[in-house]
Amino acid sequence: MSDALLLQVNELSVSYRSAGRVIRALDGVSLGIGRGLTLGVVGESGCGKSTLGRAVLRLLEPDSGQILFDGEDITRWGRAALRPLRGRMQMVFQDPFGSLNPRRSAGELIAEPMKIHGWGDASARSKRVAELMASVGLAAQHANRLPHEFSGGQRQRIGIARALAMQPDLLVCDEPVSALDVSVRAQILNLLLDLRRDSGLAMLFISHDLSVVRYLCDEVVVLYLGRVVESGPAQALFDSPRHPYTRALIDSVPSTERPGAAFGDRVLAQGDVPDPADPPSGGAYRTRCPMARDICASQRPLLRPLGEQRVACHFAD
Amino acid sequence: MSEVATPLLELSELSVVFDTASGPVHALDRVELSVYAGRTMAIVGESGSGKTVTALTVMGLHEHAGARLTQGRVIFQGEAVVPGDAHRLRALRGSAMGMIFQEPMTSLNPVLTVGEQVAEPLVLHRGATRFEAYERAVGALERVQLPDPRGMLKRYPHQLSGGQRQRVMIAMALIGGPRLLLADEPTTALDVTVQAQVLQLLRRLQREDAMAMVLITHDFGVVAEVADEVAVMYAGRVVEVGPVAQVIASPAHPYTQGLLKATRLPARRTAHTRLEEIAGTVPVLRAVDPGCTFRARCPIAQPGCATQRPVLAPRDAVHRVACLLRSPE
Repeated sequence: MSDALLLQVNELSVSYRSAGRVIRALDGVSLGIGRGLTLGVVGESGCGKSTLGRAVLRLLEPDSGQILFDGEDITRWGRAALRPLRGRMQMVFQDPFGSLNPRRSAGELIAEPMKIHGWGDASARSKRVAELMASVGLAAQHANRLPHEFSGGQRQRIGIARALAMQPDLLVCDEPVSALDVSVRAQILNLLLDLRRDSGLAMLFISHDLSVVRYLCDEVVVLYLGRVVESGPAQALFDSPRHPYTRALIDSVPSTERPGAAFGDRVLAQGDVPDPADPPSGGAYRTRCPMARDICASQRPLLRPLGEQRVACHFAD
Repeated sequence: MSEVATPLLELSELSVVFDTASGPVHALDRVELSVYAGRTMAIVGESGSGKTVTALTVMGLHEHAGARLTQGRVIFQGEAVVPGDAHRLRALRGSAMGMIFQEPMTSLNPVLTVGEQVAEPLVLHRGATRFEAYERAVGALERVQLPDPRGMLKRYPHQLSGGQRQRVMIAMALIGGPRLLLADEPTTALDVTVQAQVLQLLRRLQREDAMAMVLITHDFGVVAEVADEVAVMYAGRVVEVGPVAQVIASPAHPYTQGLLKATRLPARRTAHTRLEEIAGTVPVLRAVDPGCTFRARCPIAQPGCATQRPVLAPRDAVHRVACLLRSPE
């Protein structure tokens, strides 16, 4: 069964050192993504979701745990060994041009991964650039334009085209629609769904936006301070959330369903996310949880199966 | 009630231009809006709609942002304040008008304690003694539900969480007892759980003080949770205005309809569902458009939309829409 997974993460832990303090960004996270499926990762700032994306792509060194891609343990692979794999796992960022050269044309940016991987000659690459631009809904004659000449939504299309250049099996999308206006967001979500249908792409979809994850994803993992507090099929998790944090996240989403409600009848999380360098003992959510009791401070709840989900809470039922 | 009462704030035919190196950009085009005491008016729109410029102009801060008023005026409590006297506006901004912004970190002074920032203005501008000012500051921090308000006075902005900083901003905005609170994307930079807490707080404070609140947001969900009325802006114009429940239940302008559809993602996706897109992007207005600024993206546009400017026309006593095809004959 597990052989069928494209990506499998076992007990992954990652820590950072910052100003003399150790921050455990990920603490024993396990998850898996099947071919052609989309796994959503949700949680608030500091929950470790972006770290997870980077760790999966081996852009940072984990402390412990395992990352298996297509059945192979790549956790300790070196740069040279990873290179052929890079084309098969690609990343889409919130702002695709934050890290790219603003003086390169759209066509050059899209062709860059092919050049790095030594794919084809210049004319084959430019033909492929035209195909890629068409597949993401961009006019091929705009290949010579510079990034600033495109709108935010068009720039995200270029970022996606670039990520698709080497025909990846896995796309790690880190907040890909968060910087976009809602009318443009719909265009990009439709594009991602089309690509998934047409090419069987699997996606790790990192987002703080629960309505997008609910709409797009097959499975969901909820992170809180570096730990998985709940996971399961998207429909079951959103319809009947088991962990109080999952419930608070869902209830906090502003909704057009009940005008004037002002979150009146909903149970909100109390206070703010604690300092990740100094997480609470036991169940980390207890400091904000309305149903927390003594045991939550003394004993860390482990993930256990409950209905279709897995949940880490002493009192979830 | 709103038909007979006098608005606390009235924007009349407000037009604002940014002079850029490549020529003028028309940010606001004859914007009209009335805000009443004790009510929350949301201004909703996407990037480039003009919602933030509207707030800046109300406070007389548009020139600081490089914008120029070309027409119209802002009337606040019966007094024409824009265009108007800069000193008078500054006095109003510290008293009858309060404001909060998206990024509390950039509005708070990083080298001053919370106490200095909340209390000192009372000493400098209100003639309060230091003791009185700090006691009032403690009360203000308590009101916004900050834990340990006395301890909070001694802390610096960087020692606070994003949610706590926004609560400090709200305390500062309210300490002068404003009649109008302008909140420009006050929760956009916050996590969703903290956003819900801060929106709930703003709603409660607005009711308790019977203030008027103008809430600027890109999120129709936020509008629905906290506002009484909503003005939908597109490319520098108000295209629809009315009570929130009514606009959400029966949006009249094609843009409002598209925006609502794009906001409300279906909870379930079947193999063939596609989200409805609004094709294209918001235009940059190099010239005042003689027709409707939404027509290039509008699914029902007619040739007349290119030449005839739609004006806000009543659909009923409280709901108005600027669309040639959707206004009653």
